[in-house]
Amino acid sequence: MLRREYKQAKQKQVDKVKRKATLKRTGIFVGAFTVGSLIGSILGIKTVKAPGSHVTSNERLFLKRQKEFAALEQAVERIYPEDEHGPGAIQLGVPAFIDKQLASAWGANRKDYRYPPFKIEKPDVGQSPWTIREIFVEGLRKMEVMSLVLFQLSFEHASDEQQIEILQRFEADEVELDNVRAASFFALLRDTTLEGVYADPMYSGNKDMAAWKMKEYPGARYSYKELVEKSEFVPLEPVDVATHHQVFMKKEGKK
Amino acid sequence: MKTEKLPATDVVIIGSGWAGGVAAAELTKAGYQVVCLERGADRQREDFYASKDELRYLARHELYKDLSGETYTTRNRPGEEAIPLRRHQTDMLHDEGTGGTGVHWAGQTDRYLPFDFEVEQRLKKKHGEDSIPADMTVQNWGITYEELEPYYDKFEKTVGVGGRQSSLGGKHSAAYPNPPMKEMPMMRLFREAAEKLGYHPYPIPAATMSEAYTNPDGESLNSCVYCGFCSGYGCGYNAKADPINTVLATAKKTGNFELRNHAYVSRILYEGNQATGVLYIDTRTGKKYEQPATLVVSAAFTFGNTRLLLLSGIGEPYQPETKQGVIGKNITAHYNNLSIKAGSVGFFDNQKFNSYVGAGGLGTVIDDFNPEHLQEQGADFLHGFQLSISQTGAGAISSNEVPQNTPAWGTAFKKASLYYTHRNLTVGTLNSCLPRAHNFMDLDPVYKDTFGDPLLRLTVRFTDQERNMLRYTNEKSRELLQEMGADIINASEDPNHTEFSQFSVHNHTAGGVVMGASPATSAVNNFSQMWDMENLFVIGASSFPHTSCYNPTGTIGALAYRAAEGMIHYLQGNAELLIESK
Repeated sequence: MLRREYKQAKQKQVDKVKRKATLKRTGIFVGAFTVGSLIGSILGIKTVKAPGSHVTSNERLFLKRQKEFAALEQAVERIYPEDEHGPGAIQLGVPAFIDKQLASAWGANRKDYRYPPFKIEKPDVGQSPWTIREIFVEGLRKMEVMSLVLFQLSFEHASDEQQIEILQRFEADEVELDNVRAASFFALLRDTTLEGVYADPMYSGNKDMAAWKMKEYPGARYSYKELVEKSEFVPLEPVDVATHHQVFMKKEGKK
Repeated sequence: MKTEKLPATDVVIIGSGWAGGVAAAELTKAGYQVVCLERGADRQREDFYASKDELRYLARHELYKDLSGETYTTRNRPGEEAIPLRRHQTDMLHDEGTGGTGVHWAGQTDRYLPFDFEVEQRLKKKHGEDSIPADMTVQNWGITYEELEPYYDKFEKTVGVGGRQSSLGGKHSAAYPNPPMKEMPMMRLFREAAEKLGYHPYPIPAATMSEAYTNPDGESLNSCVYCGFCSGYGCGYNAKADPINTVLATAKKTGNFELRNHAYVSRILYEGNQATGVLYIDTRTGKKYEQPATLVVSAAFTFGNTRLLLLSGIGEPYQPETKQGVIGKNITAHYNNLSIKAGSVGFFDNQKFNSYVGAGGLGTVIDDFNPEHLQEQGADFLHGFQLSISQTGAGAISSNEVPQNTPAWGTAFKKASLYYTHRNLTVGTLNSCLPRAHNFMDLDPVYKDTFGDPLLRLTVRFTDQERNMLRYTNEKSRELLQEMGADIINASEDPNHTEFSQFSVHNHTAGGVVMGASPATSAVNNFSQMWDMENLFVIGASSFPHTSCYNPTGTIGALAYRAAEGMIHYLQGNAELLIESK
């Protein structure tokens, strides 16, 4: 986990420099987006993407505003899209997963050191004075604002390409967010999306273990003692933690 | 609030991890009354039943220390303002709760080399009298490998190590108590490639039981099922040795042991140069207690031991400008970006591996680059490293390796990450780390813990020594992957730009209360007894004067057994320094 994060962080630093140079050359560098800049842009909404390709869950623990949740759905689907391998993040339940995570102690930074002073001006998620919850809300609202300004469309109605462009601008740190670097928020969004895709289904993502099936990942099985030395790949049906718990208690003779 | 003074005990131990657990077992068996103070919650075997929840344990670090009340700060240089490490999830830290970090460890149980204990003269002998830079504070441990060997053997028997001795390490007086774990195909591939390149691969010595085992104290462990949820998790199968199923169980059986959880020790108390007990806070109530004791044992993590001595005003704090003082000096580690999370990833188009199978200690390693054997030209660094392949059990969230230049998200990422899930292998590296005068720990002047005491501050920066070694290990790990037949190999950490940051900190951090032959350069003698306070023993990786290219737990266990012997000797009426200072 850490190795991946670290390498990504490094790679992003390199990519950022390259991308900034490119954008400056082509003259499409986007500076700070502020809420004020969208006034006057809202009127021209046109629908590019037909809504209703999914059912937005009303079972929500944290995100209240419909636009925030809709933006989250579209963003996670662009990060982990439906394709020939199988379902994408929406169908896997990732938006509900993230909503519940934000409502949890994790979303409130329960185990983080939160005493001031917060000294870094444009901090990463880890040094932000804002909680994970506040960072998500800020990021999702800014996506909506950017979509309205750039495309005169609500983020949820923008085309896949338009949504991807906005996410790429976050990733390249070309967006101004309050109290957190956009690239760091995007890394958080990306990692949390993958957590929702691949975590045990009890957290509301990875619906029907469909992501584990795509990945040929067997989940929480009792024992691999018999196949340790097998030289060929052994595909196995996945087992979730709840089922494993039953199996474990039975095999270990526990009540 | 008034401090309540509790009835005195023979020994009070701070921390219930491997170091404290070993001391507790030995002292209680010898008939002494022991109170063990553990800052975290109570944990029992049932807490780990069916705990194969990657989100909770591996991604969100369920077993790792809660940072909300106390963390540490970091910076690169004196004069800079340090910032606190705030985020629990991105931290690679030590544990809290019964059993300490010994619960979520991987079980890799190595020994340090004869070379390590006499590192100063051995480096000079190998590289020349002037080879050690002026600001490199390497120092001998005040003990030889031969003297420590029986204690290594004892710890290995306590934790049931399975393995086969490396032909390139120090001599063992007995074989490991268990045979090696099984060899999986990816380990075979690594071994054959290594042999072809002329190296001497051997199985990682592991405390994940290769067979059902009963240790000399009568504690029984089950045979490992290779379930793949090991490092970062507690073992529900009772198949990975941890302090709970070994030393703490042994201590409990004597009837002489009391473990108190949620007990956060804030001071070691003393009169003159005699420790009188400790002051602790019940973290649930905020109530303060004084626990008097004849003998005090500080067995916290490196950070806890160092900070507690600094807060208590015991020993001379280290000053980087003058190199005077000892408490806080010689911080070293397997820093993530230099070592433990470096290494190279290879992608195999024509082979699929059962990557989801594994155990924390399962793997194969080569020791041909250790400082006793590394002789190659172009190795422009001191000391050495290990290369290994580990099959710890790849989780679905944490294993999304893709060839570099693949986007980190979207259609192309999904496709590549699914394709390569079972088609990638990492050749990992453990690089030794030698101390520098400018790398040290002290108390932070700004940030405080939740009870108002200063946090520990880490001041660390890397030098060419570390960068050169990283450059070299990158090359060697790449060569091995090529020999193994990898089609694509990702570039590793770029040694030109690598620097210490909060991403670097790792739970293999050592130093701060180092061991040696003289009070001028060390805090404790080779019984882990404080030079300045005869009835205070400080055990754990805090006593390592440097970090070698091996996992630390074997050496922590060995030093703890030796320390326990010293404590018993002390309590038997030999109330004095156990060793003459040189």
